[in-house]
Amino acid sequence: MYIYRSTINTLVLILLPALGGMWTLQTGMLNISQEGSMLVAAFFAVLGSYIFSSFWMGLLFAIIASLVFNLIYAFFCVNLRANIWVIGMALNILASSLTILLLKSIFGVKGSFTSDKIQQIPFVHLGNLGIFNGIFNDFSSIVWLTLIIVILFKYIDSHTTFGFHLKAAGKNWRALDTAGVSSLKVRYMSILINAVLVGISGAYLSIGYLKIFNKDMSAGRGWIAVAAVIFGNGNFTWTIIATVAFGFMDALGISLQTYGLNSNLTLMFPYLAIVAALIYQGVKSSKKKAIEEKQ
Amino acid sequence: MSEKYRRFLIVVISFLLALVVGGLLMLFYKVSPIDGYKIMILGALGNKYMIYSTFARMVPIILTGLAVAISFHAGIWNIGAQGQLYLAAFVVAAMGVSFHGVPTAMYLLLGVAVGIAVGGLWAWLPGYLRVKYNVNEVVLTIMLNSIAIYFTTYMTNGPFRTSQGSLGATNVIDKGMWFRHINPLSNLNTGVFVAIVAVALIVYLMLFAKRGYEWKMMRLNPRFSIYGGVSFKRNMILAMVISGMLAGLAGTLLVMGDYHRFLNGISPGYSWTGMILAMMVNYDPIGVIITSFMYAVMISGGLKMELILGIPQELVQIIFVLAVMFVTAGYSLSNKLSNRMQEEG
Repeated sequence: MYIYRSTINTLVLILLPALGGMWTLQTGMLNISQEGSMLVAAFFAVLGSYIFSSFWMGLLFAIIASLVFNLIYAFFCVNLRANIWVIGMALNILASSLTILLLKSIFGVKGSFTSDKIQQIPFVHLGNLGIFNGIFNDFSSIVWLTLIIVILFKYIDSHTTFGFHLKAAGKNWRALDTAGVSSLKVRYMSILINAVLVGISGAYLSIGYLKIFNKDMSAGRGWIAVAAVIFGNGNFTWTIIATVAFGFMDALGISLQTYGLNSNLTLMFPYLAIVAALIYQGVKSSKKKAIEEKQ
Repeated sequence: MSEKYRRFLIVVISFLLALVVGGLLMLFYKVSPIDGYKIMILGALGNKYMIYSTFARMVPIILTGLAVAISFHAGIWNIGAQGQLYLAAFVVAAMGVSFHGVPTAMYLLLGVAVGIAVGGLWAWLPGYLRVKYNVNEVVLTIMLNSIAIYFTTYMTNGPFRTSQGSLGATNVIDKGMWFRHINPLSNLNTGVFVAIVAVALIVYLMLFAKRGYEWKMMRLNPRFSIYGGVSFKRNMILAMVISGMLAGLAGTLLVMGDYHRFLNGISPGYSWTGMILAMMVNYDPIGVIITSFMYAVMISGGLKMELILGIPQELVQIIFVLAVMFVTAGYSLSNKLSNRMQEEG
């Protein structure tokens, strides 16, 4: 039960940026600045919640910060067609430095900030559910929000024109432009949607189950989301499967720590699995090719 | 205007622009930008020891920068320098804590050789898979980064955990394996000579050797290079392995020279900084040397600025990132402009 609950908790963190990143990947842009956006959002969530003593303001600040951050990314990578790796990594470094700088300048602390004035995002208590208490009760409201977002994503991804536009922007943007839909706009939409999701995830990180901002507190979660996106390769189901696998391993590792085992070992497995899958895929397809060439 | 000259101009202007923005930011801390930059330069290059420290800071950046430059130069993307650095650093440290009594000269040689070999092997794997089975090397190297980092963190918290206090590190390695610090006040150590040799070799390879020319052709015009008889596959794997070896050397020198042990955070993003540097100067090795020197000066000076003026040292990192972004924007704009001019002309 403990593993189940902590899986859900970490899953939310990865799932939101993974879904957002899946759509930007569909439009042909791998967004590698997720880690940075998440960190910036987490900081501004604490800032907003601290100034106004309201989690709503925390969420709002986080989303706005993430939007600004992603708009910079969009401007450089979509409008200027700059290299996504340079800009993405530059933004990740920027996020880490900027949040530490702001911690020092605004709060006068070096590594972490917490205060009673920060309001947490509320938990949802559904009353007494008997044996289902452990399964459904007392999760953060963000968990339920994420569930709704996942369902919405599934629907939009495969049943609406917007979902098709996303894929068209990635596969053949000229055709999309010719059909009268601006591929530029579709790309921007996907980046902005991703920004909102990452913003929520960042807020959840800092004011979701704790009320604290630590420097570099995203601790690779953004990268895990990027890994899931790469593995899913734009496909909804595979992205979800990869995310769940990562979330489970993360939670399993943390709970194994109580038995003296080290979480870093279990965290290696999803990556090993992906490498194995990639090699298998590659070997299979190149064998197929070899057979075709012989015939 | 020649392409190279134009690029150089863009880099210079972008850095100046970023420094102006940084100067404006300093006003928030009630510091005059002129004072701020004066302290920065003095803090990095003010006396012999500061220059030593700046050079020590430059070593891992320049090695990882060249590592990325050499692989991208040949058209294969090694995003895995971070993992290669970590794994090599760890293996060298593990060797250093496990074996004692090897003669110093031999141990130094052995340490460097093992570090380079581990880095090279960890890069060979994705290179081989890319060439042989067409597996995407970008994805593979990202995954291999995480595997290497989690593995080394596991080892330093588990089997190779230090018995000397602080957590997240191995024990101090055997003294026979130390590159001695040149001066107790700075991290600069005799390992820097190994780095200089490596840099010189890479510059020669990339700019003057036939192999370097073949790599450039592979990236710029694959068909021409195949027609010219370049063995694509072998060259790609070779570039990848050399790239990994450099990253491995960076990690090795950090262990044998700077810290004399392996730490979990041994490379706080050195390889990422190296990567954006290399991309910024379009994989030109001389450009990597110049920009990594500028970066080291800024970072060393930033520490001094925090101590004396109370400006957070992160500010210089932000200035640097802004410079990188301006350079990228400058390239894009100048490409667009020249395309337009060609169309009109």
